[in-house]
Amino acid sequence: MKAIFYQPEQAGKDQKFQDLADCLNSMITVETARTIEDLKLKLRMPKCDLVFVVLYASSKHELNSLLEIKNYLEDIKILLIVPDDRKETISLGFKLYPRFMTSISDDYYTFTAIIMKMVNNLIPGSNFGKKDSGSNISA
Amino acid sequence: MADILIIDDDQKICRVLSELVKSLGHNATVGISITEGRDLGTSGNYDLILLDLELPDGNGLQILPDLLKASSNPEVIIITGTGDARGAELAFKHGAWDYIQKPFLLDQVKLPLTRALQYRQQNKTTQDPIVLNRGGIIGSSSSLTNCLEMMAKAAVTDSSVLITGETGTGKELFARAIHKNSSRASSGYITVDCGSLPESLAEGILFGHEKGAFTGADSKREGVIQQADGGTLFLDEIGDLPLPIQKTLLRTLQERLVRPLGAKAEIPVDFRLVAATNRDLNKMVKKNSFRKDLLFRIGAINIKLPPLRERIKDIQEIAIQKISQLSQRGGFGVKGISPEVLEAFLKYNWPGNVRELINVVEYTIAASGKEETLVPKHLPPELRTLLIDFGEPKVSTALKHEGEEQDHILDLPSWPDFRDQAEKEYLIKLLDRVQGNREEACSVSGMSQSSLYGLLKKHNLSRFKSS
Repeated sequence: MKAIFYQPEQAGKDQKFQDLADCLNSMITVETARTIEDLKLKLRMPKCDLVFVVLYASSKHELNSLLEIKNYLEDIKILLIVPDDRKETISLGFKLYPRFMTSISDDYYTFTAIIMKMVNNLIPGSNFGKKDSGSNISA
Repeated sequence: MADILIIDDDQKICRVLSELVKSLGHNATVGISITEGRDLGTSGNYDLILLDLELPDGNGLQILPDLLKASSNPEVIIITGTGDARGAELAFKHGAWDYIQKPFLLDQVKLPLTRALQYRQQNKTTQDPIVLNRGGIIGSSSSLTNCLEMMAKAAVTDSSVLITGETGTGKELFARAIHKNSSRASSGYITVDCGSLPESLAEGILFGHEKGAFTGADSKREGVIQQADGGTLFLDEIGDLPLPIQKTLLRTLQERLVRPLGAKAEIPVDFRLVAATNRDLNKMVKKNSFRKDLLFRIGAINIKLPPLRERIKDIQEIAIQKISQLSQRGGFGVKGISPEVLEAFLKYNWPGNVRELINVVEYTIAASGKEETLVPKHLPPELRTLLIDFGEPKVSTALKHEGEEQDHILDLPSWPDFRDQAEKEYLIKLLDRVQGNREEACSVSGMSQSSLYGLLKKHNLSRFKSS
C-alpha cells in the first residue's frame, strides 16, 4: 500500500508538509516525486497498490503543470495543496478533481485529518490518527 | 412567452403558481383534476405542465404518459406532497423534467421552471442533435446503455441524482459525465469523499465556518457547498455521512441556503447534487442510520450501475481501449492481446469491477516489458489459474477426498471452494520455499506485497519475518 507525494523543491521547505509525509511514511509506503517528469514516471507504474496522491502546487505555474498531466491522474484519489486560496486558484485546482483541497497558507489540520481517516479506512483496526484530527502531526 | 398548465386541486397552490408564472412573463392555465388536466394537456399547446400527483380522481402519474405525448411535447414538472420516492423514480423514468416536494419555496419552482423553458427554447432554435459526452465511460452492453440513457436524462434536469453500484463500477465517472452534459458544465465540479470526513470536522468542511467558530478555527473558511455554487457537488460515499450532518444537508437542499458554522446569516447557494454509494441506503434507512427524507431528496433519479460481471460484452472493449491508452502512455507503443489473455479476462468474475480490470491491464502491460503482445505469463497469478484445465486431478488435493483412493474423484467442489483451497496450498508452499522472506515471496509469486498480504490474511497464514 503506497501513496505518492508530489513534493517539488519548494515543498521541501514547508515543514508542515514534510511532517505529514514523514508521519504517513510510518504507516504506508510514501514515494516522493520531485519533478513532474518523476511524477509521470511513477504514475506509469501499476497502481493497484496506490491509495492516493498528494500534490503540492507551490505556484500557479506548478498547478498548471499538474493540469497538463491530468490524464495520468485519472481514477486516482488526489489530495491537493494549492498556492493560495483565491477563487481563481481554487477553481483551477478543482479541475484536477481532488478529494480534498487546501492552500499553503492553511495549517493542514483538516487536510491531515482527512488523510488519516483515509488511511484508517484502508487499514481497519489501525490507530493511526484515531483522534479524528491531525493532532499527531506537529502543525 | 410560454404557455404553462398547472394541474392541482389545491386552489391556493394554483393561485400562487399562476402568479409566479405570470410574474415571469408567461401564460398560466389551471386544471383541478385528472380528467380536466388530461383534456387540457392533450388538446392545448403547452410548453410546460406543473402536475400534482394527488388529485381527487386519481394519481397524476396516470396521465403523465398522455401529457408527454401531446403534440406540443411539453416538459412536465411533478409536484407532490407525499414524499413518495418510488413515484419520483417512476416520473423520471417516464420523462418528467423535475420533481418538487410540497411544501416548497417559490424559488424551488422558479429554477426548474426557468431551466425547463430554456432547454425547450434551445431545442427549438438548434436542429443539431445533442451529443452525449461519455467522459471516458466505455461499453455498449444493454445494461450500460440503459445507464447512459438515464444519465443523459438526468443531465438535462437540475434534479439530484443518486448513483449506486459496487466499488469500481464507475460511479464517479458517471457523476462527472452528468456534470459535463449539464447546463452547469462551465461551472465547478466539486467532489467530497464523505467516507474520509472526520466527524468532528465534517460540518465545517461542508458548510464552512467563521473565524473562531470552534477551537482551531483561526480563520474564516468557505465550505465546499459554497464553493460548488453554480456548479455540481458530488458527494461520494454519501452513506458514510454522519446523521447530524445529514440533517443539515437536507435543510440546505430544501432551502438552498447555507449557514457556515458561527455565522449569523444564511447564504443562498445554487448547486446540483450528485451522490453515490455502494451501500444499500434503503437498508440503512430501516436501521435508522440514514435519513429517509434525505434519501427521498437525493434519490429521485437513481442510476444503478451494473457490476462488470453482468456486462461481459464490455470487458473486451474496455480491455482493448485501456491497453492501447496505457501502453502508449507508458511509452511501450500499442501492444496486442493474445486470445488466451482475453479468455482469462472473460472468465474472471471481476469483484473489483472496471477498476480491477484497469489495474490488471496495467500490471499485465508492465509485466510484458518490451514484448509486443500480452500473453498469459504476463497476467497476475489469480488470472493465470483460470486458464488451467482443472479436469486433471493433479492440480490440487482440494479435489481429493480424505480416506478415498488417490485417484478417486468425488463430485466437484464449488469453484470458490476449490480456488480457496488451491490458493492456500500455494501460499503454504510459497512461504516454505522463501522461508518467510517478503521480497522473495513477491518476486517468486509475481504478486504485489499488498495482494500477498491480503491473501495471507484471508487464509489466516503467518506472515513474513520482520526485515
